[in-house]
Amino acid sequence: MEPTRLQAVEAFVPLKPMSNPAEPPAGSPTRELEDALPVLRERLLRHARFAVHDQALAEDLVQETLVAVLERQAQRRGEASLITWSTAILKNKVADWYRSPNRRRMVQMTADDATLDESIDALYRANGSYAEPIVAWQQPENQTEQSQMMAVLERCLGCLPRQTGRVFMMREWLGFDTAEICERVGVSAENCRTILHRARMGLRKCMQRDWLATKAVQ
Amino acid sequence: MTWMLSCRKVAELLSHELDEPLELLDRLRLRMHLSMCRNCSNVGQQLSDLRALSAKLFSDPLDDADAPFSSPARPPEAPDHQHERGQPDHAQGKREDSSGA
Repeated sequence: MEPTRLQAVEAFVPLKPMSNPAEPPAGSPTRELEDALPVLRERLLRHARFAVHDQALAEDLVQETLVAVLERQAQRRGEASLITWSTAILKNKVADWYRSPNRRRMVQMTADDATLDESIDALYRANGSYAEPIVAWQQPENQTEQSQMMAVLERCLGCLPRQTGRVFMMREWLGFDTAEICERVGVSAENCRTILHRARMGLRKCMQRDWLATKAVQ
Repeated sequence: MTWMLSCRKVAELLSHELDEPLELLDRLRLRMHLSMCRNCSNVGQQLSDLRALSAKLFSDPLDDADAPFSSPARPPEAPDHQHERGQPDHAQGKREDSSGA
């Protein structure tokens, strides 16, 4: 069969690497970023889920973040890692979402919250003292242990009830003060305080169990 | 009114203090209790650890493995080109700089 015109042309330039002019060349920052996108998306998504506890919403926010990452990558500073920088952009997107005027979420106490309350109650005797001694956490001794401890925390965060988790993330990640949290989720200052306390004690308890177990097997 | 707080109340104040300054009287009663109660000072330490650890997790999520995420985007253009890092507002965790040099 006769070679087509294109095949004939290619036959003359076999040593040149084939490259599609529309695609950035391998090794360029843009190309590296595109290659990293699927993993980056997964990481951001995990993060966004903790912050909003809503899969579809988390996906939307991450999508917007990735668009911003691609558009603004020229502004990225040399010393910030891609994940750190992208996470900061995601944080702004989530904060904007919580602050958007047409969005209004009510905090609902779910059955999960009641379970968490009970598990906190179980810490104390009737007179308010601890039923069992509180053991100090062993501090991580190196970078690996530090990462393990963070992984335990991430797992524990995933176990918080939905609204409790959201409020904790608004406070500790987005940096909202309690007055703003009250306004955004529509609860009283007293309620907000209770939710934050419950979140911390729930995480504390989960860390107590899982981090001590992790350390014990080493 | 009593000076003695229960451990349960102390835990509430410890958490509250992470969000807003306490009233003077509560602060005094809290400090007094903590100075005498090992359980509560451990809980206090753990709540601070949680905050520091969260700040680290949220600003720099799991830099376990995966080179693309832990390596710089590109080398800084010039040695005197120092940027402020865009740290989240209250990231209290000490960053461990393993890059050395």
